[in-house]
Amino acid sequence: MEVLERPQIICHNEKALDYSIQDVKWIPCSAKFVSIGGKSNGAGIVEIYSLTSDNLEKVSEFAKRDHFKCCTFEASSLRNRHLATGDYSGRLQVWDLEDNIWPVYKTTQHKAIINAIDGVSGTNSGCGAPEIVTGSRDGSVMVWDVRQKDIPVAKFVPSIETAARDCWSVAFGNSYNNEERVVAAGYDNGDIKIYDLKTMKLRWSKCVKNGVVGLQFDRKNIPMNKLVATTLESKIYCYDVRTKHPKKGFACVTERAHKSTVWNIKHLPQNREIFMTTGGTGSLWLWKYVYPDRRVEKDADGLPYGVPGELSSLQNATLSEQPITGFDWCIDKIGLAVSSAFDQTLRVLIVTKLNLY
Amino acid sequence: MSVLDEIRGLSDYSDPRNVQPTESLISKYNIPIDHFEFAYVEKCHDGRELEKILQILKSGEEGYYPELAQATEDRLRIVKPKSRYLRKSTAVLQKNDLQREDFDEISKDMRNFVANAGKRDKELEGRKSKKPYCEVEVRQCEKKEITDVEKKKNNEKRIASTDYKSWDKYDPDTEVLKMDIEEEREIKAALEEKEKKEKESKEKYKPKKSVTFNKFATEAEAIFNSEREREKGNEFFKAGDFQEALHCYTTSIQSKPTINNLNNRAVTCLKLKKYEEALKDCNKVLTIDKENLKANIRKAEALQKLERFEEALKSIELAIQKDPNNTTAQDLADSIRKKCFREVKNTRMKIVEIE
Repeated sequence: MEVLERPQIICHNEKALDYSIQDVKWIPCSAKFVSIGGKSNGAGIVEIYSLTSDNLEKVSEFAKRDHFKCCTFEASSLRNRHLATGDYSGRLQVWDLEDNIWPVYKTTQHKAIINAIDGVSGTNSGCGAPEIVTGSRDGSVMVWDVRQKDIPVAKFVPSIETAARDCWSVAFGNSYNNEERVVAAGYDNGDIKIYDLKTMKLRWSKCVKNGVVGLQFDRKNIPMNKLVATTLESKIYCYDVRTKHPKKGFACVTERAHKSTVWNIKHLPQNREIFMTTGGTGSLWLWKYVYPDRRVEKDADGLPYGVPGELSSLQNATLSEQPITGFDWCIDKIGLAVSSAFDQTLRVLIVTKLNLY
Repeated sequence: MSVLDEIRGLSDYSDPRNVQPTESLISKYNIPIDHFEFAYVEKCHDGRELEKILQILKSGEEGYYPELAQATEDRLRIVKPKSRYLRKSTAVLQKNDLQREDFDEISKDMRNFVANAGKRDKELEGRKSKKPYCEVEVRQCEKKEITDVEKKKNNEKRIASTDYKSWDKYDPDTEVLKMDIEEEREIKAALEEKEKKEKESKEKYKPKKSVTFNKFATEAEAIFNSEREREKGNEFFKAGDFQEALHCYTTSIQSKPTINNLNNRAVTCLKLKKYEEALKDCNKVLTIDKENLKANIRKAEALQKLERFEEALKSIELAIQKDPNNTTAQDLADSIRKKCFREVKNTRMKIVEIE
């Protein structure tokens, strides 16, 4: 489909805050989002903002002992909408946003900062139990079920304690029925690993040259389709993880963009072929994955191997002068997004014409 | 991911003065100087070379030639329109950059969304459940931990370069043989897995009607689920995976039937040649919205395939009434009319023969 008019990125609202923002997430089924981070006095803070027709209003806030690093709603049901957070001291906590004196669930198993968090299966049934995965500087990746206290349901640790690499990113995927599920993890040395939670085995491992900052499957609740990883030094790797060949592995497309670290990768929830990457120079880049004519070919032995497609650039725009570290698409409204940058500013964005792709 | 890394990354890229060039770009790319001519550039067919010329011109190492750079860029746009050197970054639009009508449309859209979302949000807040409920058990793994086994294996095999005794024992031929065997084993395993997968996929598409659906306690949840499944179905549909798309649309309809998901299932059924089912879905849409354009067109298509031409003609005429300029509807109408006409003609012929 040839579309003449490209999507435009529009800044709908912005708000300067007085703390460093680490992550932003929309509250599902609402026009509200949370912003988390830490104040200069060391306290962690969670704020809830509500979108009015043309303004941004703070609804409530609460502060805790340590800086919050990352958060997700995706392991919680729509009726609860509990926020799972990871903080600088390695605590995982799950909050009821209206009753936030004590967390609903907490663990202190990680020894260092939790860099990344992801949730799965909170809202949809038939795709397994709701679980949270956390990746930490101590090198371990742990999977949690809020119904089980203190002990993770699965744990992936480095073989030698001293050689532990800082885990920078985690993502769930392949969760298309009650049994199957994988966790992908990206490390500071450029390792990307896919762990299978059903067989408890390392399913795939690959080293890209630079530290993996962002990692996401295009959709969590289907047989795994694509995995996108973003790294330091402006590289984007997009793997077709549908077909794995014993020698060739997964088909891969790479792109250079942003001229700096690519901090974030977020697929559009309404269309898995479109995703946004955010850069260290304050730029946003909108991509679309175009499949090749035939996704799978057969080699001389009759074994299938994947054929890489192409990444086409839909739009790129500069938003701020500082790295954009937080970005989240709104699941209830196509094209609506919120971002946070090192310049301590929240921005509500609208990307137009996405329904045409 | 620290600020330091970020700064280091910035200084490496954005400021070319920091990087001491050991050789100029022109010698690195090995492009003859006489290629830097309007005459050459305008006729060049090599996209890669044009990219290199453009890079050299933009670097300013050889001097300032804006017109030649422009000409190169124009040529590159023809030869290799998708080149990454043609990507231009723009600033994010602010509200006052927009046209009045665009702005109004966006604000209206946002107001609608905010109002709608607010309503559903309230409904959910009123129905908060204290206990996390899930029909799936907590994951029970025999082995709670896994470590990197691979790395260890590699370390054991490695022979130190000064370990001459071990190297004496090392026989490259057997090692190569070992590798070959290992490779063969891997290929065999992959083949087996492939067969298993094929078997599974065959089993997967057997109709399993036993799936039970939990009724959603709130309207908001039903709408949310219905929308998510429809979007998932759209993706599968676009990727040409109609079987999966049908499954998603069905789940979506079970959560909450809407015009959109019924219409989408109808077109998926058409693709899968399930015309009766498609017809049913179209009729359901038409009971909600009598004049729905898509439903009428799809109904006509299904009826045509079922060889009920007169009914098909009726539906397609309704569609054309609604949107006279729709080319797909017109084309379909033409082909249906032809069929109708032929039937009429055939019957007439018979009558003539009898007389």
